Amino acid sequence: MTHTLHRIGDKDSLKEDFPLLITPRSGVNDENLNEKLGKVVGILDQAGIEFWGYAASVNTLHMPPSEIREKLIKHVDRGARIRGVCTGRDQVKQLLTLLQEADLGLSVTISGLREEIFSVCRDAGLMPHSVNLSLGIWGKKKLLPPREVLEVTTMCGHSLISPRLVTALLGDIKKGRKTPKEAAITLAKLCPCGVFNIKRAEKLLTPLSDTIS
Amino acid sequence: MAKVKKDLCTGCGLCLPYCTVGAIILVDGKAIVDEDLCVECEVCIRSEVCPRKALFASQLLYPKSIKVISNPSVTKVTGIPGRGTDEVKTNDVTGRIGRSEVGICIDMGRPNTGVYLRDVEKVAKALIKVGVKIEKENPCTALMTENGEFKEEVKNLRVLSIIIEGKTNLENLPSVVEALKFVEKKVDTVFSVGVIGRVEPDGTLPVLETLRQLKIEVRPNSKVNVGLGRPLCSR
Repeated sequence: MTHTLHRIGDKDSLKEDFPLLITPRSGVNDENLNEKLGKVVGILDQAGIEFWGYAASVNTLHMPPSEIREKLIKHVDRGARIRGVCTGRDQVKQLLTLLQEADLGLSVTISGLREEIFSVCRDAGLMPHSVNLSLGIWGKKKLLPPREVLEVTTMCGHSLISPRLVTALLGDIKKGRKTPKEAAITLAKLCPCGVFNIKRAEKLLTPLSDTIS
Repeated sequence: MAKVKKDLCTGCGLCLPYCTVGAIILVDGKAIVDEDLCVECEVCIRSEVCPRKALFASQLLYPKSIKVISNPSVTKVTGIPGRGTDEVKTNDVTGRIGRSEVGICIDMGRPNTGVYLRDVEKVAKALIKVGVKIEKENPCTALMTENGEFKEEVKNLRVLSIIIEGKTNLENLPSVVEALKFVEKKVDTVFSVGVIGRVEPDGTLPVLETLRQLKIEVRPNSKVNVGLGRPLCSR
């Protein structure tokens, strides 16, 4: 699944957007998985990662992190993953340092600007193993919503955020019915994985609401 | 499938923008779900947008049950758990994509477009024709034959997205790119392309150089496996 790979945006905006995935491999490193994932939740908290999700079924807007942690410590599905989003380079570095120290043996991927991630890895003393490169969108591109809407919707790579909803929320912001942050949270709730970047969405929605008629 | 309880619906229209594919419309003051357009992502239901809880999921029978693949919270739709393989995510412990190989990930229907499985078939066949070995542990693969043919009864089903995954030798990448350039003109949707490569011990990425030589635009975004998985696979 490559749902964090193809986010759209300019480099300055993407510098605040680094989805993370922590993935066990069945039969390889998933012994005591509940314990390991419990430790991961503690590390996310230490690194100040506010939005994350578990097993593509529940995120921290649906349930407090402590409850998710309790739930997964009691029962964890084989192969269940934790996903979330870092909102800056320093946070990625802190996360990787903490994960390295914890030595859980789970695979970790960070999506976002390749050069930034390689640079953070160097700083953290890590050598990346493999990379999935985005070659962008192909096919009948005239079917796509406008780029500024895609910048928001592609933060849920499963396409669960409707372009029409983004437009409707922009109207709500303009009319004063919702703040950009409230609109961003409405969208994030639809991303069960927890990789939608609320902070970045808020920034994108604020000026965009002025452009809607 | 997603349906509306007519007696509860007030026709307020709040649910309409939540639909990922515009399948909910108002008819005679009531919301209805266009069965063919609906991709069964169930965002309308999970969002709990309806103040009267008029939206509900009814049971789907085969072949329409396949469409639930659009919902990432649902697994084992096709007998293969999850929505794809581990792609680059666990390559540090599996070595699925080796040093002389490239992984190919085609996210059909993404972003925000949706896709008929007949178009997925076109792309799968094009890849197989140029020697891409399709990944077995993948829900999309479970729907097709070895030559990329989909069963007749599923070809006209529309899903929100589905992923074709495979791998080939790095030296075969130019043929893959040519095949994608050809087939992109034949489909009535979009697809996002990802190419996986191994990082060499000196930090270089040979696949990136190959793509540059092919004059293919590589976006600055990537998904990087940082190598923390254990035991580390050196393949």
